[in-house]
Amino acid sequence: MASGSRPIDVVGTINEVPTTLEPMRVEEPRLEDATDSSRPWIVLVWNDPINLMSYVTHVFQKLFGFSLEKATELMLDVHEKGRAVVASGTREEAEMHVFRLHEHSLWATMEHDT
Amino acid sequence: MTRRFKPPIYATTKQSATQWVLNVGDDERAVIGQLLTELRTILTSDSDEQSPLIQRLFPVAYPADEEKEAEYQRLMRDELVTSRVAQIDTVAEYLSANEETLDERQVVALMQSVNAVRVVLGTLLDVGEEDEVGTGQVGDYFEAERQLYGFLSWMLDWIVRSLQDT
Repeated sequence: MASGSRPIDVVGTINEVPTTLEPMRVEEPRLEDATDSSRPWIVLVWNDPINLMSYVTHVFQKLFGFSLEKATELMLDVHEKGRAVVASGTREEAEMHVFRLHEHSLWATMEHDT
Repeated sequence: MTRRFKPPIYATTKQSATQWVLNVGDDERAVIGQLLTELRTILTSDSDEQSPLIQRLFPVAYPADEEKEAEYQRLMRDELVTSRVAQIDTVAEYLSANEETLDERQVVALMQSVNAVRVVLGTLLDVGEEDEVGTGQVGDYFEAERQLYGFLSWMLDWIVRSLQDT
């Protein structure tokens, strides 16, 4: 928080701040941990020859609230490109989406966004 | 004089409330009921984990992470069975009551259950992208399964249409 009428203790502040002459050990965060916790998860739906195109479109609309146009576009991505990203979020959110897609017999997986 | 085609399931609105009519005969109802009983058995019996049917009914969530996958299956698998059995029970209750109309909850249960049976049959038949599976050939070992798969695909398409109409 900024602003206020209190005078600045210049000397004290300088004394407390490490200078470049003062060697210190810095604990670097492990890159893997940082990326794991901050990178979102994506939910993928994969093409399979069993599920009907109309059914997949309907499930996308029902579970994610997509318009018919958006749901159809994603369904066609699944059908023609082999897969589509249908949602992203935290690990818990992605797991819930995957579970609901599995309830509807769609072939869904999740992975870290790259 | 030609008779107007009525779909196997359709939505109607009475006093601003939507209900669905299942327009199939007793034989078709009995077939659906029997298939759902068999699906229930597959879901609730100790099954071979390596079976393609089981692997398709309980898909992998984390294909690249064995540890997370094991945790996911430990937490979610029973929930998935419970959810699917509840849907089957909803449809079975409706069929045994011998009623013509369904509410939305029952139609959704019918949709998901019919598709789950299709998934089992489609896996059994090793359905490919270009296959015309519903057209079973006389003498084919899986002729009956192919006919059932075709029937359920036709039913499912109309169920989805009836839900999209509302």
